[in-house]
Amino acid sequence: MISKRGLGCGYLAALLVSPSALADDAVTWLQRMSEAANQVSYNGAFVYERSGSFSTHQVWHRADGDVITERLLQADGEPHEWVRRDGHVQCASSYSAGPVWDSASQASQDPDSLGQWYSLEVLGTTRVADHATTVVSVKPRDNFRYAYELYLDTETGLLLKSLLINERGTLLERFQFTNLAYSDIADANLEPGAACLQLGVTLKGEQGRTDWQPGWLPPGFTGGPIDVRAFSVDEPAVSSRVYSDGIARFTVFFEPLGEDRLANDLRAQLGPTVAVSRKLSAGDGVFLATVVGEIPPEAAERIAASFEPDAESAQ
Amino acid sequence: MRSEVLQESLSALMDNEADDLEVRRVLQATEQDSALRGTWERYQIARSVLHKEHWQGSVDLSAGIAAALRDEPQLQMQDQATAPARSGLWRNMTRVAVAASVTMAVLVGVRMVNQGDVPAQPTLAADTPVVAPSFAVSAARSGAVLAGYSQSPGVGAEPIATAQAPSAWHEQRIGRYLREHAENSAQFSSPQLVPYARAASIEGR
Repeated sequence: MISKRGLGCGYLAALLVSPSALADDAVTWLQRMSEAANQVSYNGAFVYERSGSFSTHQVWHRADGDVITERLLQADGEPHEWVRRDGHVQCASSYSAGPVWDSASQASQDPDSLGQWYSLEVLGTTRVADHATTVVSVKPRDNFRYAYELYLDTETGLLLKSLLINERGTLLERFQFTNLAYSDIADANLEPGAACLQLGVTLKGEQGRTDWQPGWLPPGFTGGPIDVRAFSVDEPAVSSRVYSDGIARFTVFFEPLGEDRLANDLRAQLGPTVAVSRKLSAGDGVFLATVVGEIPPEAAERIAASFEPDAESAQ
Repeated sequence: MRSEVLQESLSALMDNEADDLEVRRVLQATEQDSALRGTWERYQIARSVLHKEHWQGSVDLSAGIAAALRDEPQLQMQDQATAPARSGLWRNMTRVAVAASVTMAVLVGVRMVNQGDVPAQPTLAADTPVVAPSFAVSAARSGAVLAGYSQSPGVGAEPIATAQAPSAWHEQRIGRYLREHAENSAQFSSPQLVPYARAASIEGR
C-alpha cells in the first residue's frame, strides 16, 4: 500500500512486535511521540475538555527542517491566537509566563527514568480523527502523579488524543483531534490575525528571597532554575520554580505578603490542575508559597506543607 | 434525615450551591448510606458528556476508566454574603478555603467513625480499592498538616477555624499562577498541544 502521506514505511514495521516486548514498545512510542512534531507538517482541529470547560481549536503546524512554526487559533468564543516558533511564543492574545525551562524534553530522552515512576504499556489500537492510532497507557507507580492514556498516530507518532485520569479512575481532562491532515502549510495560514499581540517586556525583579524550598518532593521530580520576576512594576518580585518527572509538571510560586496582599491557606482545583497556597511566617515577614500543577491534590498539599527555610539562611 | 431533603442537598452540592452545613450533612449521610452514594453517582453520570471508550485489541479498560467526567465533591466553605464569584475563572473553580486545617479537621471528624475500615497506611498502593483513598491518606497525615498550619506540633484535635473566602488579591494571584504554569508548560513539545489547551481554557469565558 502506498502511503498517501509520502512518509517512509519503516514505521509500519514497528507494529510487528510480540506481546512480551510491550513495555519497551511503549517507551519507543513515547520517543516517537516527542519527535513527531519536529518531523511532520499538519493542520487540523481539536477539542479540549475538563470539568467546567469545553473549547475547540485549530492548528497549523509546519516542520521545515530546522524551524518549527505553529499557529493556534481558538475556534469558539473570542478568536484567541498563538504563534510559536521552535516552541517559543512569538505573539499571543494573552500571555503572562516568563522564561521557560524545557524539563519535559530532557526527561523524555531518558525513558528508563520514566519507567521508574510510571508503568508504560501499549494497550492496543483504535481510530481517532479518522487515523489509525496506537494506545499507550502511562500508569503511575505511586499516588503522587496521575495516569494518562495517549493515542498516537500509528504512522507518525503524533499525539492525537490524550486522557488524564486520577487515582480513582475519574477522567479529569480530554484532548482530542477531530480532524487532521498531513500536508504542507501555506504561509498565509501561519500569519497571525489581529488578536495575536506582540509579547510585552518581561520585568526582571530584584533578587527576591530564594532560600525557602519545599522540604519534600514526590520521588522522581527534579527542579529547574529559579526564576525571579515581578508581575508588574509596583509589586515585589515572585520567585518561581518548575518541577517535573518527565510527564507531570508543577510550579512553585513564592512571594511576600503585605498590607494590600493578604492571603490564607487555600486549595483550588481547576479540572486536572490543583493550586495549593500556604502562608508562611518567618522572622522578616509573611510569605505565600503556592504549588500549582497537574498532580493529585494530596501531593500538592504535602509539598506546600513541607516548605522550610534553607538551613544556611540567616534569620 | 429525610431522604428528600438529602436528595435536594445532593443536587445543590452537584451544582456547587450547597452551603457548609448541607455539605457536611451529605458527607456524613453518604458514609452510612450506600443507596445515597448510588444516587450521587447516577446524578454524576446523568450530567456527563463522555462515553465509554472502545478500541480493537484484547484489553478492555472500561472498568478502569469512569464513564463520567465528574467533579470532586469538594467542600465549599465560603461566606455567602461576601464572596460573589469575581471572575468567570473563579466561578468554575471548586474552592476549599483555608483548606489545610479546616478541611482536614472536618474530614478527620467524618472519617474517624470509619477509621477501623480503612487501613491507615502512609502510602496507598495504586490499585488498593479504597473508596476514598485521598481522604484516608489525608487523615493519616493530618497530624503533620495540622501541626504545620498551627505551628504547634503534637497538638491533637484542632478546633475548626472559621472558614474565610480568599481575598480578592489572592483570587487574582491564583488565576495568575494557573495561567503562568499552563503557559510555561505549553512551550514544550511534550505532551504537545495539551498544555496549550489547558492555558487557553484558563482564559475564562
